[in-house]
Amino acid sequence: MNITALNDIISASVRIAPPITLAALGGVFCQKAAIFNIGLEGMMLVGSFAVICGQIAFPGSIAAGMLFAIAAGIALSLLFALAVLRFDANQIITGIGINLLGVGLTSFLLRAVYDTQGTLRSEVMGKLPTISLPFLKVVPILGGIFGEQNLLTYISFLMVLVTALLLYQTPFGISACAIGELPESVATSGVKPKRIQLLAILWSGLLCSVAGTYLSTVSVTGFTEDMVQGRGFTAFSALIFGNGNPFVTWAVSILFGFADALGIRVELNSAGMSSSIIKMFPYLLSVAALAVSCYAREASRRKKKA
Amino acid sequence: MNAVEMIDIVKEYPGVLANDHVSLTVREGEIHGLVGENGAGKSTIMNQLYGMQRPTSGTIRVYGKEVQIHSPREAIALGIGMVHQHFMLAPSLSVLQNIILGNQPKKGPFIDRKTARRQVQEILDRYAFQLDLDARVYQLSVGQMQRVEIVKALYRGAKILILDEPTAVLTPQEVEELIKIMRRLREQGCSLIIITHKLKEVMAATDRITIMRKGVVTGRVNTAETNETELANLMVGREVNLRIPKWDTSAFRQRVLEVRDLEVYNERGQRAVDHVSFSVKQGEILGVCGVEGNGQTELVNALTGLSPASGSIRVNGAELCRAGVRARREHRMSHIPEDRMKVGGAKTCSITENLMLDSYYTPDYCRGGVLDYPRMNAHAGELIERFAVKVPNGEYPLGTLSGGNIQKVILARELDADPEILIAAQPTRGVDIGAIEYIRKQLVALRDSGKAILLVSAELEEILSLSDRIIVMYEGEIVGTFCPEETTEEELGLYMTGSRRMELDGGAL
Repeated sequence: MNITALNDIISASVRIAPPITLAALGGVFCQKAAIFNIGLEGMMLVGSFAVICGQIAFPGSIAAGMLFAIAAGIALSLLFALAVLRFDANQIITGIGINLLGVGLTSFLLRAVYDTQGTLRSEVMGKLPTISLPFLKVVPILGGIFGEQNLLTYISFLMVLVTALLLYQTPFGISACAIGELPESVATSGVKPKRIQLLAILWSGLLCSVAGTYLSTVSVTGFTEDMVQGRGFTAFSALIFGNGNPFVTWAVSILFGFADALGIRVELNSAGMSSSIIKMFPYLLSVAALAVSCYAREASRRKKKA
Repeated sequence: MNAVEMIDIVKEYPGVLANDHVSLTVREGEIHGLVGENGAGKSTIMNQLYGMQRPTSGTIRVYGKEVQIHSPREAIALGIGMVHQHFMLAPSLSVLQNIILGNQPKKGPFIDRKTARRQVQEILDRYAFQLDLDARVYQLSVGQMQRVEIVKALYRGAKILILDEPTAVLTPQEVEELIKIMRRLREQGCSLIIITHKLKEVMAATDRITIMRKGVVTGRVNTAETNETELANLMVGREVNLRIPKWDTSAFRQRVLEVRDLEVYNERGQRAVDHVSFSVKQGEILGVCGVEGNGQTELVNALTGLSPASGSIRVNGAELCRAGVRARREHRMSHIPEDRMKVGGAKTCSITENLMLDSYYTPDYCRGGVLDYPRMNAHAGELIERFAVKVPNGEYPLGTLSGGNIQKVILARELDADPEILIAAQPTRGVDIGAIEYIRKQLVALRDSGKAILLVSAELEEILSLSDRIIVMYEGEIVGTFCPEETTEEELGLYMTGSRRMELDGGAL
């Protein structure tokens, strides 16, 4: 395989990964603070819808689009927080509700406000700029990762660091970790666990909605009904896989991106294989990878003891 | 000067008066003991001082100033710190992180670890504490965790320290160390309140004592002018005898339970019981002691069929190591589980149903798959009366009873099965002294009738007073075997912490 081909597939993996990375990073604090947030999917979907709404309201303004998306994501996460923290609703059921609400609400608004079905575009579509570093493109691997990517991809890289800093270096992050282990340890220190959990949920709304904007402005141009297509759940499994560690979570989401990219490549190059089988590839990979990692973790623990 | 004055405190829960005009005064620079049985209202009164609950009425003064304490945060601001019985520490965080949790010094948005470390080190130096700040909490011993909790309170500026049952989980050596620490704290001007029901320790550690019973204060004494008997009478309101006389059972010879080479892994895949062999004879109580987490729980779970094990478990010659729970019960093995709410009973089921859990399927109570409730009710009624469970009838959910009464229900069910061998894990944990006395009498009566008992308990006093023979477990192995008449709590403590061990011949045990 030559450098161009290698860089192409790496570049494709990295290009596919950001929504998963961002959503998974959004879930990190929830995961640490004992909030089982499977509503990532729905929060992403409202983000990908609202970014287009913003651009329609302020023609072509990506800034307005981002602001709309973030507002929508935070609003939906506030609803989740209200149900889970204030009214002690079951987290899983609420998460399912958030996902269904995301699908229903976007479809409804599509018909009610824009009087259309299926897809939504602004007349002028803006998106965040793509940053190209030509001198890097020829370097193996690095060229694939950094050579030519959208600004949002770089933001997702940055968020890995920001999440790690927040998690390991700030009172908020440490408190979130402590809540997951023993909520009373935080409560008796005079910090309200629910306040930390609220911040964790809002953070997930913020990052998931940004993840959603990537889907409808960078991956494709325009919003399509139900366009998240399980990426929220993929992000959730990356999160579980990484056990809340932002770096591992990031690596896993790139791996999912790689599986996707590989699938697309195989699909393009071989006529014989059914495309539905190829589409299963990333999911099979995630199941296999999870099983292997659990087995490895268990084995190393046993070895340590023996 | 008084550090704390709680005057005429009333705390009412729906239907229960937990504190009935309780007054408590703690002087500055003293160690004050607050003693009483479980359910006497000690923890309730302290939770109000620490802001976890609000009094229904009454006045609280701290250093002479009247205060309203709405939350732990406000209590901390007043200089009140609490060390809870169950440690409030996050196991995978470091000691330092746990100490500064919720109070981290900051540099910009980030935690300023250097300053934090310096501040904590100053406290460690001032009170001569030994602690590794970088260790993870799960790596620490129970005594060390307690020290972390104390430092945590001091770091928050506590001058008044509440210690809730601080000695419950410690070995005798650790208790001595704790008493030294408390004295050092007192010398530095701290006031300490220790909540306990252990009279020996309250006599050794305190300056003054307040005694509570059923929500009221029954006595205030200077430690120097009292003794354990007086305290016990004030606590219980009558004479209690926890030393139960035993009959001679030396005529019984046969081994009922024989365990050989038992190996058990815990759920994390670690070896928790390491090739353990022992046996229990008819008419014998074999006491198992050890610091919690040294394999006792896993041993009991393996014996009773709750977790898989390899090796050999024989009851009257029948091999049961791979048998299910019902098969073991049908070989007349009974089990009083250490966690009575999760394993011992079903709290939303009725008392009757709980009493019949091991026999509902027998032809006596079940015809063609249909339960015979009238017969079950009748039998349960008999048991409730025979075992003095304080409840009008068997239809109440188990969860509505007090700890002592729940334990009596479980005891009734297990003894009703007429066991050859009873595995009793922490049978008197967290129950009131009246129930302790009752349960111990029942255990001794079972022994006197020639049955075998394996008694696992964290209370050394219980092990020493009930057992005919004692084995000590450390890191999953048996490291010592003793006769209760020939040993002391201190000696057992040395074996429990691994500082001493015997060479044992497995076959002879």
